[in-house]
Amino acid sequence: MVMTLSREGDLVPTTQANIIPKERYVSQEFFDLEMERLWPRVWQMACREEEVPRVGDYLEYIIGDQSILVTRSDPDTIRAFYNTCPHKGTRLAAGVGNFATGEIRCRFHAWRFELDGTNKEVVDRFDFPESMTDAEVCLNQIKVGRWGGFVFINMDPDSESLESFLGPLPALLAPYGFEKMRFRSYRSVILPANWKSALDAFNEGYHVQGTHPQLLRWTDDTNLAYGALGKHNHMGALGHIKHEIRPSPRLGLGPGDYDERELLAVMIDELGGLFPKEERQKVLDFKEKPLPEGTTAMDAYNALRVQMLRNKGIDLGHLSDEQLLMSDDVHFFPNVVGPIYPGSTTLFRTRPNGLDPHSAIKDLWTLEWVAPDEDRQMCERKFYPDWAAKDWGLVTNQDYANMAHVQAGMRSRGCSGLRLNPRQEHNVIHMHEVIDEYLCS
Amino acid sequence: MHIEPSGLNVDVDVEEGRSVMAEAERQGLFWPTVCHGLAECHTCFFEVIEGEENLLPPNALEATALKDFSGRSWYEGKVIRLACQTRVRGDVTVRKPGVRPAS
Repeated sequence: MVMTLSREGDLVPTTQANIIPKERYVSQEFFDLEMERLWPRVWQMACREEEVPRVGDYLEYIIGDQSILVTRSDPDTIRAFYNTCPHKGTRLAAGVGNFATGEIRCRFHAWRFELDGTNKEVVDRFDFPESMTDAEVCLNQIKVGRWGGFVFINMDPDSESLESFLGPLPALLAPYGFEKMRFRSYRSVILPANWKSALDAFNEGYHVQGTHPQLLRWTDDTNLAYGALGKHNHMGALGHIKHEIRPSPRLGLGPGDYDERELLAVMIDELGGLFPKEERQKVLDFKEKPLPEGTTAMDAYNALRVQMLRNKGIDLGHLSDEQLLMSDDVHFFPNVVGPIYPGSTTLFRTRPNGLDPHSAIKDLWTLEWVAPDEDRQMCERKFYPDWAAKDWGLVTNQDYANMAHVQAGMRSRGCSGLRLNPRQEHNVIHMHEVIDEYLCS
Repeated sequence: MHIEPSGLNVDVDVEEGRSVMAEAERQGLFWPTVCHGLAECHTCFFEVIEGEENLLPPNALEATALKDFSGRSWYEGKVIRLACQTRVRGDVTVRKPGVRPAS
């Protein structure tokens, strides 16, 4: 049973079993509680290490009305500070860039700081009281944790360690080699929905038959496994189930009623951008070339994927072919979710857009392993304030088109709460329970 | 209308103006669909083998849905139509695996 807000604004258990109170998505008061008790105390994926590759590189991570400055202070150290000058509070840097002079200088009254946050100069310090200590005039540092090439931040000095927070994920995800991945693309959109609605759409397979019925031709949406991994979740196979392709049982088709090669070709066409061009072309070749006797199209496709990864020159010696074919969707609590394959991943990170409970920023990160001899540069970050101004492909367009309806419908006086599917929307329910661990402690 | 590979036939009553799928269902056949006639799931699509001239042109809904097939390499060179929208005015042979007598 999850928490809701009483009329007095107190956090209380809901009296309705199996209902997620809609206030959690639409009320400003609940949103404010998240800003006060969740975001300042939870580990958050702020960026990737390759976004701040050189000493002095910085990146501004924004959550709600809080701006965090992530910077590489020496080749091996990434630090994070509240993005505010101890003099008059001025924000020190915006967006991404490099402190080319090797120091952080406030634009307003020119106080200067080392990259490690210590104060270098308080201009005319002799005017200030002698009681003002060096510690007072340093940048306000917050905790940084690193795993898999990701840079996490946590504003709570007393928080659990990142290792403890991630729980079983690092061990389970080790074969996917996140640390070897680099950006292929980085796109951000504004969606007209709560940050959780924007996340939920990628954290359950229940909506596929309603929103993306055209995917059922090659997706068995009924057979996905859902489960909690500590505070986090997964949806899919995670190495336990052979990567297969078949239509949804909802179509009522038997084994002889479809051609695996057709399903593969359609899947690759449909998901387009998620697959490298070379892989797409080879799968389309299956149409022309008959498969060897006793080989299924999926066998041939799997062999192709393994071969392509090996061809990149990446050392895969520690992985079995089976591990190389794993795929799963992982939800990194609180706000990152996405499908993970050996060699690549697409992660969706959703954040509140300012302090508006009805608007979210969604970042789409496509990461992939790069060949050892490739010097991959950080890709361009593209921003689309109006998602509808771009064609994202049918599947994503369908998801985005739902957003405004979801948010508007939940705000209706007639909406009494969310009746989530206990199995297929397990991950969403579990996310709410973990949010409550933060809100109630 | 003749349906491969099942070899089943559907009498298409031109006067009634029902869609291929609606007519097949009325005559006791199972036709794969998820959205049951909204042209959203694209599951009921079939390939025209013979008699293309006897199909009425796609309506607006079907024309939009067919874009999902026109860019797909697998269907290049094939005539694809949606059974839930297409009307027929004469003999036609189509390929639609999965069509069978409804249980």
